[in-house]
Amino acid sequence: MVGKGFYFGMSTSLIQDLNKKYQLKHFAWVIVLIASIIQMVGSTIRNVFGVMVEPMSATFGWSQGEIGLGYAIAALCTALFSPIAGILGDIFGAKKTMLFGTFLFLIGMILTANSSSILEFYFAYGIVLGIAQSIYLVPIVPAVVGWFKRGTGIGTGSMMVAWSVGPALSIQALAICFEYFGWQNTFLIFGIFGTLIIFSCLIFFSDSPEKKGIKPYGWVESDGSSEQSNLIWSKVNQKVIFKTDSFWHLINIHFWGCVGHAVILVAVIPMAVNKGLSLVEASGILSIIAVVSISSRFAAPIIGDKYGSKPIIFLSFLGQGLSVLILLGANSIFDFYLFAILFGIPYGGEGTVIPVINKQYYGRFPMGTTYGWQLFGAGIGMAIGGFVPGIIFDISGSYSFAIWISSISSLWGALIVLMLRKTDKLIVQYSPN
Amino acid sequence: MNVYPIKGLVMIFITIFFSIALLIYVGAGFSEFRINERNNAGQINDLWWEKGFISVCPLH
Repeated sequence: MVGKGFYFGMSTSLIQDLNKKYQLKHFAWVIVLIASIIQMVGSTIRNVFGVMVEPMSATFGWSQGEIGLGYAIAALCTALFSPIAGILGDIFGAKKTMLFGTFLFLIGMILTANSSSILEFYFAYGIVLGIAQSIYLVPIVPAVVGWFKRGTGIGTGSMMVAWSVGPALSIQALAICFEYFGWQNTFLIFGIFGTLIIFSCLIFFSDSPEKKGIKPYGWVESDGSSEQSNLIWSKVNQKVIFKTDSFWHLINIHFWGCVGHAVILVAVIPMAVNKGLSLVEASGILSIIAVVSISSRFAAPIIGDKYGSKPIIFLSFLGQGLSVLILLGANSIFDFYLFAILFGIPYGGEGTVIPVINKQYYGRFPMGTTYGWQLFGAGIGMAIGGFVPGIIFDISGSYSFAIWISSISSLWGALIVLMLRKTDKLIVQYSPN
Repeated sequence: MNVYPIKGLVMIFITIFFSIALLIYVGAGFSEFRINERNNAGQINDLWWEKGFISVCPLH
């Protein structure tokens, strides 16, 4: 018979083992937790946009297309402002930049709640919230990466899971709030509570381990302090990064990857309904993609960090490009759900390795500007991939051409991945000053 | 490390070229569709941007 003491002893030793392996008391994990919470709150209002459409349409009589344009404006503003947000993060620090972004988020939410015309909605939701989203979400990923000397993969993977978990947790809550309080009050409540949560998190946030006076996660004595001069952002050293082919390839890769999955994320539900699935059954496709992608969002950065990011990004793009071809012959619920599983795995792993590869190429140099430009590519790709399928369906009455666009985009992205350099050492030589 | 990132920039230009070509092709197809729809309904008031897309696209 096994007693309580056995389990207690086992769990204690398990915690000790985990603590030894992952330094659980290191402040980097607090930063990962804070970043995850901020990302969950921040990404929710964008990812649950679909829930807002019907109540807004009922209140004002706006068409779905008119409301959808608000989403497109927000996506475009986020994309265009991502490089600026990255530069602000590098110059003023992630914490100050995110505080400003959070303030803008609150203003955007209040203005959206008080919108009474479609133009006011475009300004409040599209422009103000679109810009706010880039300012408080872009600097956070490079800041987290900066907290890790080693083990960047597990830190990034833990944080990236928040992108899937946040909307999954909040979509039902928001839908209920819309039902009981109306969408205006929901925006006010969520805006105030969201701002309070982000502000509370930012109080404990620190831009870098050096600012907090501690060593980064995974630092060992033999590392010394040789990289101190590379931790401060400078125009000269940023130009060194701009002059690498990989910098441009990574923007390009982000762009094609996002075209590849945006087409699918926007079109797969109408595509399935068109083939005779009910709306509930069709919604299951996106749910399966969301759930399956959690595992690869977590695992891909860890694998990339340990064995090299290039193969994992290549396989993700290849998998994404080939799996969408299933949709060309999909007719039954089984076909669509099989597609969701086979697509969800590479889709989750495709973008989450990027912060890791940045670190492998460029070290712990502030990465906001670089990452901001990569998100610019991603945002433009999402915008193009998002609106093309609907137009193609209007013209041809079929999604086949859109599926081919998605597949070729991902496969072309895979080809560009092959042009990247190996990730076994830094590819830049920084100037000491 | 290259002095100038030739490969990276060439690939970016290829991306921009193909994206614009795709947008023009899809835009021209959509314009043609809208014009035909209106013609079927007996209206002939083509919009400037529809004509623009069709004139720029060599495949329409």
